[in-house]
Amino acid sequence: MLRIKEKGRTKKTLMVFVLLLLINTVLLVSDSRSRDALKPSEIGLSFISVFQKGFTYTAGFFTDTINSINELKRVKSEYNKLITRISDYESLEKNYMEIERENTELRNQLGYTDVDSVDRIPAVIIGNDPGNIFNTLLIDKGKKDGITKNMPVVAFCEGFQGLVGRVVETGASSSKVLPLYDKAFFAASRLQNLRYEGLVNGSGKSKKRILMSYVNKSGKERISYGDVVITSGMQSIFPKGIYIGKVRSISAREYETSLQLEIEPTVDFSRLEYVFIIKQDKAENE
Amino acid sequence: MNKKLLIIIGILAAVTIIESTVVRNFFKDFILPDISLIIIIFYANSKGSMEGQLGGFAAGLTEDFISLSPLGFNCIIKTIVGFFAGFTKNKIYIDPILFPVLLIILATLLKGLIAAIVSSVFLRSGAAPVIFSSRFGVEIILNALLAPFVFALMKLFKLYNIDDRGI
Repeated sequence: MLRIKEKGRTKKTLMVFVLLLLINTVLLVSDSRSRDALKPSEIGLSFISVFQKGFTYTAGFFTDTINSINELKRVKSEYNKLITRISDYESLEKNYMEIERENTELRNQLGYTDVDSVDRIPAVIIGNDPGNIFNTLLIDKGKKDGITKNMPVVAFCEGFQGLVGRVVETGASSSKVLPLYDKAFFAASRLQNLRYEGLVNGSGKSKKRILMSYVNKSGKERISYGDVVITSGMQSIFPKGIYIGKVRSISAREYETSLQLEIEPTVDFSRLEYVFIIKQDKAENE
Repeated sequence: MNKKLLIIIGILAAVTIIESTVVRNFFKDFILPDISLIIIIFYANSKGSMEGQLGGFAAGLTEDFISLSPLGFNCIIKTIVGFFAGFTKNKIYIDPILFPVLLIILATLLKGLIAAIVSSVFLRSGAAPVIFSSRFGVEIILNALLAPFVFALMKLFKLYNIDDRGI
């Protein structure tokens, strides 16, 4: 009798499990962030590729570990050389920042700003993503406050207006923001002084490291540590002139036709509490 | 649906919200432990697969609502983990430290594997190689370290049936 009861319970548990899986699959397929169409061959390929990646990454880990010993010796000698160079650059950067700030103040006094003419809606960050896979910022303003999808989000950091991200989902009184350090974030950008253009996107690994790709290779010798990156405003939802960050490293592979710059964001995300959502006509709808 | 299941669902929802606010502020840029996963494992271990999967479903759904993950992403992961964790009911004796740690390490690994498969199959941007990153290693360690404390806390609140656990 007990065994029959137990069997019935197991059957019920399994049925509920299958039902929950079905609900989840329907939710996943119907969500706009999921893939548009799923063919059986694609599902199979994607499923197997997970295990392929597993083997490749594991093998890569061991190879890299062995190679890294030699690499460490070389890096140490380079590190000593660079440390002296960095101290020179730091003093240069301080001067540059002061000039930059003075310039901004003078422009403000002359009423010469174009970015400042836009409306900004202030908001407070009320939450972040509870997991480690996705990056989300939750703000306390939503549709009721005039927030719409794709509005740029900025914050003021040490007197500069720095890019935070863009609104991706709006509720009645709260919204989700995709931060610029997320892999899915892209913004048209340019180097403030040298005017080289590129595409900024998150590295997905660190809040303190984003990437600027497709920068013309001719800039290899001219671009230097500390160069400021701003939004270019080219066919983008972001108005031009918003600070994104500063160049921290340049990588140029011989077989590639462009440079990739590593950028340290202007906004310190670990201390971010308040943001501003920029109201502009273009952002309203996709 | 019994009263204890509702209480657990409430606790899981609250923990998810606290994780996205207070805990995130505390850990800043660091990796977050998955406290709701530890609670699901504890509950599934003491009550079985049915309660485990329902708790997992509720916790995952709450997480999906406040995250940029597609609706159903965390939900499917935690439903499956809760279901399988339920198989340990009455099969292993949970001591104060060792088994909670081992159980949570296995559960986090399973979570990572399912996350990699689900994101590869369903997601456009593919957050897939989560399981192969050092961030995931840190999450396993954090979860394992927290497991004995969360298990002890749950026992303190008597959120399990002693008879059910066969102790």
